[in-house]
Amino acid sequence: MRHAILLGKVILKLSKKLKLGSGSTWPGHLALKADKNLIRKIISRNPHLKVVLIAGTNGKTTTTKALKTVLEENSMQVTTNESGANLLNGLATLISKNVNMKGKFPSQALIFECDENTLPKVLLEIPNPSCIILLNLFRDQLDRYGEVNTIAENWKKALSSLDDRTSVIANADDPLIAYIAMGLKNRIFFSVPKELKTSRSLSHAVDSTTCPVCRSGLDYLNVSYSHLGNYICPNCSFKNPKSEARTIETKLSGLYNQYNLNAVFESAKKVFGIDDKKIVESLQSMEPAFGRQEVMDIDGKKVMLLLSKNPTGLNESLKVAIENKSPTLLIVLNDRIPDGRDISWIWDVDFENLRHKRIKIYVSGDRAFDLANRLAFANISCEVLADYKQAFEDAINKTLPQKMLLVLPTYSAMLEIRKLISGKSIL
Amino acid sequence: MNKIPILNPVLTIAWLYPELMSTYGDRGNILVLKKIAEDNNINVEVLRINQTSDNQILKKADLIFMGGAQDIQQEIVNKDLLSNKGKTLVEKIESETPGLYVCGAYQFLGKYYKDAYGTTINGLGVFDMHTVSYKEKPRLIGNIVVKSKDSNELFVGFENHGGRTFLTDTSQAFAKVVKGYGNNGEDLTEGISYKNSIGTYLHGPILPSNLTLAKKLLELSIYKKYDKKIELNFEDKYSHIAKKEILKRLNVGD
Repeated sequence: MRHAILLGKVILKLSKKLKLGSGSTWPGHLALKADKNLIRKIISRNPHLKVVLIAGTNGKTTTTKALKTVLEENSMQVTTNESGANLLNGLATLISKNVNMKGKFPSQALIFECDENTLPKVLLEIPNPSCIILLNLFRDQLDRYGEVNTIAENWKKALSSLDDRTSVIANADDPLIAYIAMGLKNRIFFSVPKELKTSRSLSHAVDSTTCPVCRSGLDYLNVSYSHLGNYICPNCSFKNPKSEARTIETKLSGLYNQYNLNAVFESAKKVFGIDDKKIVESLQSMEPAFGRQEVMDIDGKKVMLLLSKNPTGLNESLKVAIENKSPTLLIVLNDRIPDGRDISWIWDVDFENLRHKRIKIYVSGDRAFDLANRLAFANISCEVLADYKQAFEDAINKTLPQKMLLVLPTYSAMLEIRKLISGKSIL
Repeated sequence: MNKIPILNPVLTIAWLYPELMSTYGDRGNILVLKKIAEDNNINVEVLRINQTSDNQILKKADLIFMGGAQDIQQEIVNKDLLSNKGKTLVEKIESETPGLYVCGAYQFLGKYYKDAYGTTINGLGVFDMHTVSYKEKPRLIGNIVVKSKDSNELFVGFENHGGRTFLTDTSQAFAKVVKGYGNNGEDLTEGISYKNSIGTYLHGPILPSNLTLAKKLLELSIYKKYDKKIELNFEDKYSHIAKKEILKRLNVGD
């Protein structure tokens, strides 16, 4: 174990010094090669360390940051994987970076945002974490993740061996998530207040509208967004479990963030014993995570980055754009491996909602013309500039003072755009 | 605007299982058919047909579209097709109603599908082909370019399927694989062309990326319904550029 930790630390230092790029995955990858049980051993050496795993298609990074903020504001030392290195090698890197040579963790909590396919693998290494937050499951990068139902099945299997030491905090309004968590011993369901679920119909990009128990079509009484809402199966009466919900005022807008924040609230309260008022106060001080409603100032104009990597994410980002007062919009579509190579999903996005809104639209990225084609079939005109630097400059120039430029990029595009804005790389 | 020598033409497009079989941006195909038709002064009625729809409604269709699904949804659809709508669908295909069947829909119109555990699921058998999924073989995923057998035109798309399809008669293939895998990754065939129906693995979705195919399906539908040969016009702004870009990236000359 010691040599694996040392190896991880050395590689980490080297990759930083030589600026080798993704120093958040390689050191862990090699450390695991040196000792494949490294994670398990370290965890057993730190019996007082509280491990929180955060999984779901959308909202992982924001939820991780929010929980970290609350715990730190309440005098705890917290370790997280902030740069989004959310595979097993990312966890191993995080561990080798933070433990001392005896394998002791200095912090009291380890929050790990976990890739959908990685959650079952992490549970093999950390069989009983203190808490698992299950946010949602949306269709995302089918070429990489496979089908939503497959992920749900894998999760259900992996979670079935948990005992009551692990609190599972699950989204009651997502039928698949509710189904996964229902049979577990120590489960807490979260939701958002009913008055926020104002939509009466499902958007086109929905997935889980069949009953996970009997496979009949679910009836929705009201909808928050995508397939989240109050549902009931007309055949077997499967419906939302009883849940905790409150409105939490923060700098983060969007209904989807109310879900993330409610998950954080339950975790901070039930797992870490922090009292209600303190949680809410700490959340108010929270700044958005990078690329997630992150606002930057450029020449007196505001630029907001809204990572939009799947139909549900992009639909929600478009809502933010529509609520904004005549903003400029730049949508950047890449099809690299972290984005998913299949761009079919843009046809599941309700771009039609942008019609007749006073929004100037630019499109860019590797598949800019496919995106422009999608918009054309929605009768929406746009400027196409495949080079994102040019597109960004034109878009910011066209943005009136005091107005906002909203940038909606896929993952790799987000990193590029942010690099462009801040002049330095994040990863 | 283009003039069509038919008074108030109307096309009824049946969209089979829009909620269940709609995994890979399938809606794009409908949006494209509708817009091209409407720009040519053809009125379009889209019938959204699902498992609770009346069996007779499909008979009204002048053009049929059905997309791909995730496994659980596919099971629900299979049940409905085998016990209810399948017979009508087969009649429609046999009587030359134009149609486009993508991925899961394509597979289900074959004779059978043998899954990775060796279980055989019967299909509707209207296409002379079968599909096998092998446990040890990976899914066929990636950008795909094929050459049309009728026109030599290149079509682009994205494929993502675990099943390998084998045509009994490979001359029935819809297209020849130029880049990617196609039916099975071995014999360079892609899809099937049977009467006025096309079965294919290309999503992306296929019609927004290949507008001539959309026009062809609409023209066939008009011909079948009104017995008039017409040529549709469409002012494309970006589709051909998008296609050129991806062909360039995949090193395929147009």
